[in-house]
Amino acid sequence: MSKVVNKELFFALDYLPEGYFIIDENYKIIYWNKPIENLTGIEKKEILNRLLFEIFPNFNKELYKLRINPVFKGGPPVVFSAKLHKNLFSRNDSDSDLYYQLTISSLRIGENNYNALFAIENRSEVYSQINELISLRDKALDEIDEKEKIHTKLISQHIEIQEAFATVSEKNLEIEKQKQQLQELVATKDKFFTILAHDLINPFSLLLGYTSLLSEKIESYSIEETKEMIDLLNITTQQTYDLLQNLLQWAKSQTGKIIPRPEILKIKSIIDSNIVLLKSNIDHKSIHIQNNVQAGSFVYTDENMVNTVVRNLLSNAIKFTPKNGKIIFDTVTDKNEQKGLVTVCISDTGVGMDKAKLSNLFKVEKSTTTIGTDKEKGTGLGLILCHEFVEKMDGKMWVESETGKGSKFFFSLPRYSE
Amino acid sequence: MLNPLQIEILKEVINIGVGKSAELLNTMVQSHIKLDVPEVKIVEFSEYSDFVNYFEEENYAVITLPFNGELNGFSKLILSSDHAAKLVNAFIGKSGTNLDMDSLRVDILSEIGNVIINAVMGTLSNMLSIHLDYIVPIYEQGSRNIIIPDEMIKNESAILFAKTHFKIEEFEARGNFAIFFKVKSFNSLIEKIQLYYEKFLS
Repeated sequence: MSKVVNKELFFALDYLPEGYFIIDENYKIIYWNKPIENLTGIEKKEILNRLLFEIFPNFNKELYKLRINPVFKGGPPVVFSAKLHKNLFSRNDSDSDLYYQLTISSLRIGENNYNALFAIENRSEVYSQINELISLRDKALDEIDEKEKIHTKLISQHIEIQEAFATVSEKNLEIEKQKQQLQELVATKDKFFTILAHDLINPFSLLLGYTSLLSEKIESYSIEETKEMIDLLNITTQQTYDLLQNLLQWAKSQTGKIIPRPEILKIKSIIDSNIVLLKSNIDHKSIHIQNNVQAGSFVYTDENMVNTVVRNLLSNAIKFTPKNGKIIFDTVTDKNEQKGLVTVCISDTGVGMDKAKLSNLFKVEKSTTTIGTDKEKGTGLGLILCHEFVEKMDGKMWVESETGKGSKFFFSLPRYSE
Repeated sequence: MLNPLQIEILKEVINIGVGKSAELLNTMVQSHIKLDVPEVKIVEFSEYSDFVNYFEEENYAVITLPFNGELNGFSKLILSSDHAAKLVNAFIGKSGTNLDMDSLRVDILSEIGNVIINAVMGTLSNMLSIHLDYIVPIYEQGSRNIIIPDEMIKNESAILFAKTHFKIEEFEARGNFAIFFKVKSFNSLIEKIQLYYEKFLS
């Protein structure tokens, strides 16, 4: 049991540095020390014997009474923090700037009789500094927040600019592609007019010249002379016809009007029929020709297109192979076989080509015509047409050649398999 | 040593006390506070090292209420720094977030500790009819070594240890409540529990 405190000794509280006051169980203020006079500005004589909540109304609240009342029964000390009960000592219920940390302890003044000792620590200065720090912190946080917003905005603008750049780059690529296509079209057109202007005008001049001579003076020529002129007219007409045929097909392919219509074809037979077609030219140069393509090789492709390819390649081979030379058709086993393609090779013992000529062989804007070993003329269109047709038929075409060692032209076409 | 029935009675006392403190804390904060006591046990002197090791090596805030009279010892609310900060923030909201302001923390934790300790000690004192005198509460912070008072180690005292969980809406904090009894006091406590049992429960 704690010792009884002599009320006569309450005056000793005046000598302590902190604010203290004592109330009885009816909340009547029975002691008010000197430091608390300074702290609150309320003098002892003005407050003694008055009820605590008359001066500080918040103490009348049930919340506080509930916690303070056990003290009058010897209960443990009660703590009210300055931060959570800021307005406890407010005199008119208004918001105050005073922060008092309060501890209320039991004072045993008699048998089952207790007073409550209120000890007040003034924390106003500390809290004013804390509030200042909090306000600075909030300001700094707001600034950081603002900077983050700006940063986010900058990043999003940066992304937008990058996207815009990407779009421009894509457009540039597209323009570049269109430019290239346009250049190809211009080259096509130029080629077309070159052929018209040169390769068609010449034979027609010859045709006109000879037919005029025959028409005007046929009686003055001998039968041999007349036959010679008619043979020449026939050869020229045939060549012009071939040229027109190629030109027409090539023009069609350029405008996308040629659509492959695949069917099952025996490639060996196609080659045979073209050999028959060009037999007179082959015999004229005494060229030895072999068709070694496997009889069981079937392709699934467009007959007209594959005929054009074979005819042109054979015609070229004849053109560049000297008299008594050799032309061989063969089937090749290579990696294309795994891709479902049949590869055919036509090799000759002709003049061959250098690297520069090889690299531009299938380019319309770079193509040129070369005179054959028997002064045969060409259009420079045949190989371009072959290359385009093979690609349209989902095949591939390539060439191996060396000057003086002949050429090997390869083309592969989709194999037909049951 | 306490028998299982006596431990049950102590559990009951602590739960009632903590329940009362939750009611009071709810009047101080806008959010709803729920306090649970999942475990109550007696720690003998021989188990002191296990008891200390239960606390991880970090900083703790400890609110102590020394008491004497019919029983002598210390009641303590022990909170790790992290959980103490969570608890303080629940009471003052954003204004204190992440600020290491000791004055503010000390003031508020002192009051929270006071509410919980007073409610438990008040209940213990009333239910078991034990008269206790109290000294003003003390706030300390430091390593886990501050948890057991030197005086208790010298006296080979027993500890009544209660894990306490605070649930305040979306956040959860854990604390520990412990009463350190001097040996003689612990024997008196057993007698008081026995008397309570004989008077009300037998």
